[in-house]
Amino acid sequence: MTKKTIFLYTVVLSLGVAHIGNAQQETDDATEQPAVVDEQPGDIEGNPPDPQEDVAEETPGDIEDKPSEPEDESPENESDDTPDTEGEENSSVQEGAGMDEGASVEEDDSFEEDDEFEQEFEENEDDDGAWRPNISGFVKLDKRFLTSDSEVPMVDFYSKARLELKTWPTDNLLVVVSGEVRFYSLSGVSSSSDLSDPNKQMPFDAFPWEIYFKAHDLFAPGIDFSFGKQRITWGAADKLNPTDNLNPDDFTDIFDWGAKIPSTAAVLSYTFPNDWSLAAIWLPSVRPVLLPRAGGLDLGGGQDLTPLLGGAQVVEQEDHIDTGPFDLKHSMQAVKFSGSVLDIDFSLSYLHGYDDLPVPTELTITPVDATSVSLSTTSSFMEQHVIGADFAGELFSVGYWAEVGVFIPEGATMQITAPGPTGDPVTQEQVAVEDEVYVKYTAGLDYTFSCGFYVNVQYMHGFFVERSRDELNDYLLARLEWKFLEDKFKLALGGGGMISDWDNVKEAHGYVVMPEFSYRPFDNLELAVGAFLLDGEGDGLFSALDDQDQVYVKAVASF
Amino acid sequence: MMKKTNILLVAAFLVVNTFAVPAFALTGDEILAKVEKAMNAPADRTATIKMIIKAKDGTTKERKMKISQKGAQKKLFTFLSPADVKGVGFLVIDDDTLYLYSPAFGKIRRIASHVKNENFMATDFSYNDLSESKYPEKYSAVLDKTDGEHYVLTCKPKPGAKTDYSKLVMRVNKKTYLPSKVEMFNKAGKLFKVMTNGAVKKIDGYWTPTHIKIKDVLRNHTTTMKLVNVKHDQGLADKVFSKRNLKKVH
Repeated sequence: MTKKTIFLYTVVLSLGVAHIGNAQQETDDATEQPAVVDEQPGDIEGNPPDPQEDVAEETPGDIEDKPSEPEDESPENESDDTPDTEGEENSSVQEGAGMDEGASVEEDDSFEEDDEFEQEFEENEDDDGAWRPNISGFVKLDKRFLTSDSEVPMVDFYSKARLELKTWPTDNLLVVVSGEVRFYSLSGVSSSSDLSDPNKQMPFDAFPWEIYFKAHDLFAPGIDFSFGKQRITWGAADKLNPTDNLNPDDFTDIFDWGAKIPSTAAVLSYTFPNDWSLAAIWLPSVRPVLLPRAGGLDLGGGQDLTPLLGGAQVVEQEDHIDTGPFDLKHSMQAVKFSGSVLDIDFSLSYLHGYDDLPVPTELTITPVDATSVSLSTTSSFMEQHVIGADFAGELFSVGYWAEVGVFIPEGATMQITAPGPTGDPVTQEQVAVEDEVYVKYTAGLDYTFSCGFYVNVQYMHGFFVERSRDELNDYLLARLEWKFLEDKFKLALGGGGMISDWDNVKEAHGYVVMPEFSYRPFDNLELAVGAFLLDGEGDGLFSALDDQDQVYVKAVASF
Repeated sequence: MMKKTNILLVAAFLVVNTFAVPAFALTGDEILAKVEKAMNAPADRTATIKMIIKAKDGTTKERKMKISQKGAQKKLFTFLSPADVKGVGFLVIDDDTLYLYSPAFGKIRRIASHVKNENFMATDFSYNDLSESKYPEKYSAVLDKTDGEHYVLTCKPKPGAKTDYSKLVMRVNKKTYLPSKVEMFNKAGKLFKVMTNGAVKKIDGYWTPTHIKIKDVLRNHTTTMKLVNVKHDQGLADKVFSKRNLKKVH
């Protein structure tokens, strides 16, 4: 276990809280009906409803209205009369043509007429809905309980609600505005004066989620341009994507693996006539990771400061994060090329940017008096290049995917200034980030058995919290699902194991078990109970969290 | 007198059968080809669909979606409701190339074969039911019988054809050449699903079933689709049936 590993794990552990997330739900949803979200009812092109659009000339509900059939309209006659149309695909003349428009042939009278649906549709058609925003969202209530004793319990769990407005002001312009509120399970009350502070009593965070526009067929057909705070998803793997690095990590829920938050970006893409595409992305500035409210970075950068402190007590501590100047040099750029060959979807990508997790690059220890010191830390975002590739397809009915990210960090040093033997400051330099290339990859399979069981298995080298070659561990994750009774009930068993040292597996392994039972009493509502159970030996991620076992109850209502 | 009567009856029988010759002249495969042609007669079609899913216990669920279709194969489905599936898109490029768009993840995923015989979004249609279109390519048909308004075909999979069903019994309307009822038998030979087309209307010159019901006989579960705002031959471009558009329409 390297110092940097300790540092990163410390970041994870120092989150101090774990918010209720939807790691499990999203894994489920990736393979079935995803929850929530948007959509602007539009026309066949996906454009907004055209108020001028005519409601067909059909006569719904006129099943009794059977006009008489002219003799010469029999299919046989037509067939004989027009032999040259035989075999023509999409012939414009249908068998039996010649009846009046709106004529009907009653085949089955067991269908109930549905004037309400037709009327509702007609009302929508009549409505000038060009600017009508489409409002959607969800409320996700998530209550967790720790089931094991922990020295540093993660208790800052949260529920959340998201509201999204989406509209098409013109046929080729999409505007999205959404926001999220996270409200915490525990109050922030710590003194009697807090009892009169509603913000302490009912702590919450509210922030914009996605705010962007997207113009289609800008300048020329096939060219799309979007700008604003948006989520850009990359990668073919299921949720654990080593190439998905455009948006910063959301570490607020340690069990919501791979969660990201939208960030400001401009995306210019061109889709070729064969549906292959080329996209260029520009992110104006570094976007840092999101840590839990009670979380924080290890300001020592994983360094053992004991020898430097010389027994002195730290009485003051300050830190500064250098986001760099707001200039082009500190922006991030990426390109991605996607296509399909032989029924295999693939993409190739390149990103020049900055890791979203700042690394301490300067540490100054200043004596305050004979027995105490102050610490001052400056952290910076490390420049890196990521070359990515992924593909997905199927073999013998089994779905498969693989994704690889080659990380090329620029490397950085940490300047440590501390009083020397004479009392004068002495600066020494240590490696903060190795400039060695490391590779993360994920490969997975999924299959649905005829009895209805769905299985998803992924092998991964390098978890989303791990950086640098020495820190990458091997993980095997799996999920089994079974739906029953009209899909109202679902039993799911997720889990995974990891090895942090193959030479000493017995002392360097960990596992997590994630059972969940969910119930959908009706559309738009899901209720679930589940647990996260971890154990292991050594300093791997799962073993480091083995005192954070949790059970949860969850309710998700979509609108 | 008796002999004369018999002769007249025989003559009448011959006349009837002579006039009936065109109908009987069609083989099962020819009728199936006409079914295929009738089903895919328009160059393209769009509609808004309401699906009512009725469970064994009588409870119902409702889904609304938009569909665009071009030719026999290209189809694009977009869910409008309920909220928890709103925005989900399903793209069929051909029998083997299906994609599902999940707006919650902003991702498009290829649907592997193991999913294709699963029920589509809790309806009684499988992904294959929705993507399969070319009956004559997969099935050989035999004309079992004919009555006043219908042909009755028995369709069996051609050697090597990948199908979910071991047999289809199809009742074909003589006027429209659209199947009014299709009984689908599973691999074990049991009646599995029954699809019924109703409220067939002529829209833009094409006979179009506006009510389609499919019943899973084994589960006693039914899905009814009702189509409104049906439009044909709007000149839909191929790019409508692309991954780019699958994402765009949401």
